[in-house]
Amino acid sequence: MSEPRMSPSDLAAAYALGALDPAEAVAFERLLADSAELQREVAEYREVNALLALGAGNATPSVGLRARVLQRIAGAPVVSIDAGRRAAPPTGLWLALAASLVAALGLGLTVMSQRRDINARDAALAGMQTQLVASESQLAAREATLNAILDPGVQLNNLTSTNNPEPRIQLFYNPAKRSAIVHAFHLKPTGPGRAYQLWFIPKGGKPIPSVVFNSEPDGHALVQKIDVPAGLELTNAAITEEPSSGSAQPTSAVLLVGPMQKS
Amino acid sequence: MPSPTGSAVTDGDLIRRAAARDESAIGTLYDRYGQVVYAVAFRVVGQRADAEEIVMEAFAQVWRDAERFEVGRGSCVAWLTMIARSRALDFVRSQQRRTRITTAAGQDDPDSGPAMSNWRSSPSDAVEQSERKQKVEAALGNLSEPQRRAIELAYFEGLSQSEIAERLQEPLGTVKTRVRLGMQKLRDALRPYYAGGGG
Repeated sequence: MSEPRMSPSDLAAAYALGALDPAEAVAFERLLADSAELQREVAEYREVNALLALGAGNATPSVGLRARVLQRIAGAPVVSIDAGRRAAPPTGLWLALAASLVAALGLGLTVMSQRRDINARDAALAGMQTQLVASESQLAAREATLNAILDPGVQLNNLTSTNNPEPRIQLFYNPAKRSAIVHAFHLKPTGPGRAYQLWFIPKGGKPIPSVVFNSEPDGHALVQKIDVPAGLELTNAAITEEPSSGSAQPTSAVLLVGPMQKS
Repeated sequence: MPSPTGSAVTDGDLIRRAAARDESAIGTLYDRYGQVVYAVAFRVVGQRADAEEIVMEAFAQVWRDAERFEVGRGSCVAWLTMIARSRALDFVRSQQRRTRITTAAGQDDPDSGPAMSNWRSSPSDAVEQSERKQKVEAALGNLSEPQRRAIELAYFEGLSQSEIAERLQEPLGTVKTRVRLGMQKLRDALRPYYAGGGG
């Protein structure tokens, strides 16, 4: 049985939920880049998503989490997540209490203190585990990139600037998979609301819009799984600066350009 | 979700202050949305320590990227919950713990106090938040069970429509229709309660 045909608008909800399959998401993003109406719909569904968060249950974080959030943003080391308050120690009024009572209280405070230490260590351990998972995930992503680049069929095309030797882009193109990876360096991040856009230029044809991206503050950018149009003889690839939503055709001068090897 | 109307300082103001390196702005954002962000993270990851780490990272990302946030293109809370959900889903995927999450999904944190206990929102903010929560629950309650299930699997477990179809042993087209119609119903029901929703 065939699936019901859906309009782009029908896909906006699933896209905002992150529920489209990767190929559908890529196709939808192409339409999204040129449609203010779709952008509005996706933004609206993202607001619905935010409200769905209210249906996530009543779980309440530790009292100390606010302080840890502020420590995190201040770059300070994360310390205890203690949720309880230390009981006030006995004062001079209680000096008449029996020594055994003082000893018992001291023991109680020691237990509380040790429990606090354990909580702090648990929090630190949890933080390290999260970092480890993030590192593993990063490593796996890098390995996937490396595998993609090292594929025997991959061609390396260099995009260079005509008037400035600094920014440079390597375009790894796999003709068999019609897929490309962009690796940029010394590429200054654009201003607010702007981004870089990749274009494929077919022989005798108009530039074909591709991905929109931006570089990190250190000038690096890595964009993977770029679909390359099929059925055309691509002669060049180029980069322009465009609005962050991308453009259907270049609206500014070419910043970097380079030939694409014949596949 | 608009910023609490009882507050003189808007979320946009707070983001601008965060962009200007005012740490207290993040504290106020945490007071407003920390519980919601935590609830999402906890619902996805199912562990207090993991959820709290995700909350810290979500607010740290807001702190780092505040300058790039475009007020007017979406609400701050949509941004915050999107970051937290995305980080939580990445975490779960990396740990491959989806089966455990399913059973945790409907449960409250046994260690947590009563809802909103110890929370720092102002009383008017808390009342608004509580009302919105009731509206969301009512809107979810008005969905058919299959629609609600499909949306929850996408939102809290990060499943694609194909994965949902596989999980539920349903045709993909059926799942797509459920997600689309369910989200449309939610949008129509909740439009008055989010920024730019015309309410």
